[in-house]
This record gives sequence, structure tokens and C-alpha cells, in this order.
Amino acid sequence: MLMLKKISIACMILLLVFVSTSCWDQKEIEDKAFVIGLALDKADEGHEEIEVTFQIAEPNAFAPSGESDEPFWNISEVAADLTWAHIQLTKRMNQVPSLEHCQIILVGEEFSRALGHDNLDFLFRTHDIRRKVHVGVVQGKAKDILNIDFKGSLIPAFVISEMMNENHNYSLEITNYMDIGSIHAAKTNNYDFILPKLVIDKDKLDMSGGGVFKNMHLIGWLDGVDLMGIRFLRGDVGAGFLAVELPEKLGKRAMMKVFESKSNMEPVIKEGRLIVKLDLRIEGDMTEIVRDKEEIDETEFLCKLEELYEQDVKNKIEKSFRKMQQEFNSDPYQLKEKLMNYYPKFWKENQETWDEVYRSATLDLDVKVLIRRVGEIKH
Amino acid sequence: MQNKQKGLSSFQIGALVTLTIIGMNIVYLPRIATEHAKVDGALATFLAGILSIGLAIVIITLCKRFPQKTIIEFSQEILGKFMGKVYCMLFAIHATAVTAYILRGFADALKVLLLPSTPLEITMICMLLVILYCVHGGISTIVRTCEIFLLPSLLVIFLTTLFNLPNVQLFRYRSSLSNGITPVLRSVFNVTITYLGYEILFFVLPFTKNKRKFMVSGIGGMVVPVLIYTSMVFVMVGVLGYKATSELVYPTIHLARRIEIEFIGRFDILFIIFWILAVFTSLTSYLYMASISFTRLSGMRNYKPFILILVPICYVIAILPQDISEINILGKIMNYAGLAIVLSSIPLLILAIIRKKGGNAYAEKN
Repeated sequence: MLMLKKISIACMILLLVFVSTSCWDQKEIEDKAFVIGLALDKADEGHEEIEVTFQIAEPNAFAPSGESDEPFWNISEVAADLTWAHIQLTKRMNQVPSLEHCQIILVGEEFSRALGHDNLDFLFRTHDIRRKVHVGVVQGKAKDILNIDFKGSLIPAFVISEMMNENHNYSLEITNYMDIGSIHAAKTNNYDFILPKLVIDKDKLDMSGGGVFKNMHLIGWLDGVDLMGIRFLRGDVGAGFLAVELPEKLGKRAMMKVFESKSNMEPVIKEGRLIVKLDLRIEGDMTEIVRDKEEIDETEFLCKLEELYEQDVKNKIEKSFRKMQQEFNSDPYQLKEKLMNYYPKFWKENQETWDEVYRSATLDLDVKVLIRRVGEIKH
Repeated sequence: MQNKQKGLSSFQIGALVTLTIIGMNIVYLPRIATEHAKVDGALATFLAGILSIGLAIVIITLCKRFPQKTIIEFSQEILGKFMGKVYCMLFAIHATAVTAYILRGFADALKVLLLPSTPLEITMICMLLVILYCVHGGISTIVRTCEIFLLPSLLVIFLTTLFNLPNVQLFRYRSSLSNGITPVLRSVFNVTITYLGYEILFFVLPFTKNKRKFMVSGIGGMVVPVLIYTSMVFVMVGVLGYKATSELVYPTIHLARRIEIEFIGRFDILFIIFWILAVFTSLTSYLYMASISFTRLSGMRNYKPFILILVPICYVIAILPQDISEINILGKIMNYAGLAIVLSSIPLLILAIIRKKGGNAYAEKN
């Protein structure tokens, strides 16, 4: 019995040798090349080829006694698809490229107009990339954005990722980002979406506006004001600033900081026609009123201002809606999906003629602007 | 023999049932639920849960007629010596094959999600050795393991659901039942499969301390997975829509990947780690069922040598499928076999009543 026990203990120890010696998946951090940004462009020559730019972090630059001067470097590969580009990297580096920490994916204009549909499969399929990676569309070449030289050797991929994460909470002209997960959902459900637009304007970065995608292809651009209307329709309004021109007797112009807003869009079917009903409620504080000193009753003034704002917001929404409807024939505010869910019967009957239904849709706006405070000084 | 053991408490039985059900299938459940039921996936999941509870009640009533016996003994009493043996043989083979299937599915998922360059065999062998050790300790060890693992594995699933709750777009549920009730009912059948695991109820009654409370604890153990599964599918459909859900191979992992918390960079890793515990407990239950069935069938008492025989068999079955489609075929066979087994409790109960086997008088006599 004692012998048996001894033998079994010996076996256990032997087993331990096999079980706990090494890990197959261990990779030293120095051997990994962390890809932190991806830029997809159409290759200059060749029809179907794409140019993929990888932004790779240089871990040494982050160490306290960093010897490397550049915190990152970019490398471009021309290949038939993303997987090949990824593999080609291994031909050129002594490290293993890892997409685990990829922060942003930028798609170039030509790429998304022509090839967007077929080349994203790798991103949906791979387990390496996180689902929450930010995606943006670039007017021009996407790799130029990754090459921007920020001051203080900031890394473009991180800067843009943070901008996409945060800035839409402060400005109404910036859309919130789409991640790979939601793009996959948009693809399977076949609905349109907007990606934040990035453009280089004389070596400055600009992120207002967006690119409209239909069937996974870029079909047009929106500027910041258009986007504002769409954000109201879409319901992802957060905070931001709204400006309005005042009529002569009230002053010149006024600026409001929106701190809370609620929007609810619903499709309504009346006599076989689609009506888009929007309830919007905006609350804000005045931050700037430019006008001559003049005694006006406070209540009256604020009422007037609210009315002006309501009209202004209505016009903006109307304009963006018409633009989407007439020019692009696309609805990035999930109208189609909502219709499907609100009126499944109507949808089944009119599925084929959706384009016509959408084109003849009208807007029914109910906008309420509430100005709560006027700041440190009285009007 | 059984009386020597102290007996299992009601809570332990509940934990055992819950963790035997929740295992491998939690990672692909939303896909199964939305494949046919579409937007009504959550409803189908709930109905399937109710159906499973119904079946569990039948099993419990059947077992209660034979408080000192497991299915292996009382089925021979109900069906007669020969038919009973055949039935038990099928049961035992099923339990072995399910162990193998879960093992393979688990190792495959782990290879894809966590350990891409670790050989499949190593993951499987390591898991098998640990299960072997756990089952070797007997039912009380298995149950105590379940008791300990219950909280962490349920918590991580609950958190995955909770953190995704704010992203649910309620308008997606507007078209609920727009396709009529038929697709829902049809998919109930498919979803019922994901609740399999309560076959363990066939085995535990002789070991329970409070036999009167067996019904309550068994059903209690069933209610938890019903709630968890239903809320999981509800959130999944609300966040992604049914179409995208039904296209994902591991939808629940996708849900975990969507979570971003400051101090936990990757929530999906956390999810997978605790999900391994859930898989482990269902594996131990099935291996226990398999080994005890074979032991009792051969008329022996000590089931421990049989585990050592079964483990290599499980490994061989698990390593046989060559690709994902073959694994799915194996899974389908296993699931329908499992469904047949739990459904067989109904004719067994009817036969027992007709042939006047078991029951209160019987229980007192023995």
C-alpha cells in the first residue's frame, strides 16, 4: 500500500513536469509588434489590390529610459486582401504583428467607394481584433492621417481613437464612432450608417461631418451641419453647442450650450404613406448673447429665443432629411429597421417598393427647446 | 452503501442541476434561439425552459417512486430485465458521448478564443485529468465543487447581460410575434436541447438527505438556467438584432467582447475563464453519469475503475471529428439522443403506474 502511494506521488510529480513547464501561447512582449492603427486604401496601380498601412507601436519609447525617438512607425503593404497584407508584414519584421491592441481602423475614400464590401470580412471573422475598435472614413488617402506629425510625439492612432471616443459628447457636428461589431450588424441587417469623416486641412486634422454608407459602400459626404440634423433624427444627441442668428430688434446672435436632449423618432403609417415623427426636446444654457444693451423683458426674451431655436433646429433637421432622402436615398437613422419592427405587415407588403415609400415620406417635427439659465450676467 | 454517505442538501442538488445544464451551450445559445424564432428568440427560450421544467417534474416524480434507486436499477424493474438493460446501455453510451462532445466543443472554443497555439490534445487531456480527479471523489465531491463554482460562473454570465442592458434597443421587440406563433413553437424544440443536463436528476435521489424536498430543489435548479438563458437571448436580440445574432458562431462571447470597462481591458477573457468552470462542472456530471451507469449495468458496486476505462474512450470519441461541421453533426446526434432520453421518462412513468412498480408502499417496504 505504501509502495503504491509512493508510486502515485512519483507519477504526480512527473505529470507536473509536463503540465507546468511551459505555455504554448507564451510570447514575450518584446517579440510582439503591436499594431495600433490600420489604414485601408485602394492601391494606386492594380484594380483589386488594396494598400494596408499598419501603425506599429515602439514599446521602447514608452519606457522611462526610452532610447527610441519615434514612438511609432508606419509600414504599408500592397496585397490582394487584408490577410495577405498581414502575412506580408512577417516577411519584413523580426516581430510577430498582433492586432490585439488595434485602436482605429481608417478607410480611405476610394477604397470605401469601390471595394469596401469585399474586404472587411477578415475584420469580422478574426478573433484578434476587439469588437469595439473605432472605424472612421478619410476624405483622401487614409494612410496620410496615420502619417500626421503631432506635436509632443503623440501617436496619431491614439489621438484619433480618443477623439472618436469623446468628442461627440461636446460637439453636435461630430458623429459617434461605429465599431466593428455594429458594422457587422449593419451589414447583416442591411442598413445604412455614417462613419465619422476625417480630413487633413493644411496639416490640421478635422473630424466634423461624416461619410454615408449604403450597402457597405461610401455614397457621399456630409458636413457638420447636415450631421447635426441626422444626429437629432437618429437619437444619439448628447451635448453640444447651437448657434442662432437673432432678428434685428433682439440683437445679433446667440449661442446655447445643450446639456441634455431627448429624441425619439417613430415611423407612422397614415393612409399608406410613411410619416417620420420626431419628438425632440433640448435643454440648454445660454453661453453667449451678442446684442446692444437694451431693456427687454426677460420672460419675453427667453420665449422669443426658444422659438427662434425651435425654428432653427427644425430647418436643420428638415434640410438633412431632404438631403438624405433626395440626394443619397439612404437612411442612416435606422428608419427601415424601425418600420420593419413597428409595422411588420406594412413592411411585408411594401418591401419591394421601399425606395419609393422612403422617397415620398414626410417629416412631422415636434421640437421643444428649453433655455434654463443665462450664465453669470443677466441679459 | 449509499446510506454511509451523509447525503446532499437541497441547495447542493439545485446547484448541481444548474451547473450541469449551464456549460458548453451558453456560448452558442442565442444563435440557436434566433435561427428559427427570429425576434421571438427570448420567448422561445422561455417556453423551452418551461417545457424542460415540465420534463424535469416528470423525471422527479418517476424517481420519487424509487427513492433508493437510480435509473439503472428501476428501469430494469419497469421495463423488464432485457429491455431495461438495453435502455440503460443506450443511456450510458449517450452520457459517454456527451462527455466527449462537450470536451471537444470546449477545447475547440478555447483554441479559437484563448489559446491559439496550444495543441487541442493538451487542452483536452488536461481537462480530462482534472475531471477524472473530481469524479473519483464521488458524488459528494462533484456536488461540493458545483456549490463553490455556482456563484462565480453565474455572476460572470449575469454581468455580461447586465453591462449590455443599456445598449438594448427596445424598438426591436415591436414586431414580436409578427410571424405568428408557429415559428416560435417550432424553435422551442431546438432550444429545449440547450437545456439538456437535467438527466442528472435520474441519479441523485438515493444520495439526497431530504427526499421530500427533492422536487423543490430540482425545480429550483431548473429555474436559474431558464432565467439566465432568457435574459441572455433578450439582451442579445436587443443589442444586435436577430439577424446578426444568428450569424455569429459564439454570440455570447461577442456580447462579452462588447463590454469595455476601464480596469478590465478585455471582459471576454474574464468571461471565458469563469465559463470554463461551468463547462468543467457539466463535464464531471456527465462523466459521473456514464461511469455509474456502466458500473451498475455490469452489476458491480465500485465505479472508480470504470472512470479510468471511460476517460480514454471519451478522448478517442472527442478527437475523432475532423472539422467544425463534423463536430456539429456529432452535437446534433447527441442532442437528439439526449432529448429522446429525457422524453423517455414519460412512458417510463406511465408504465410504472400501470405495472404498479414503485410508489409509496414500495418505498416503505424497502
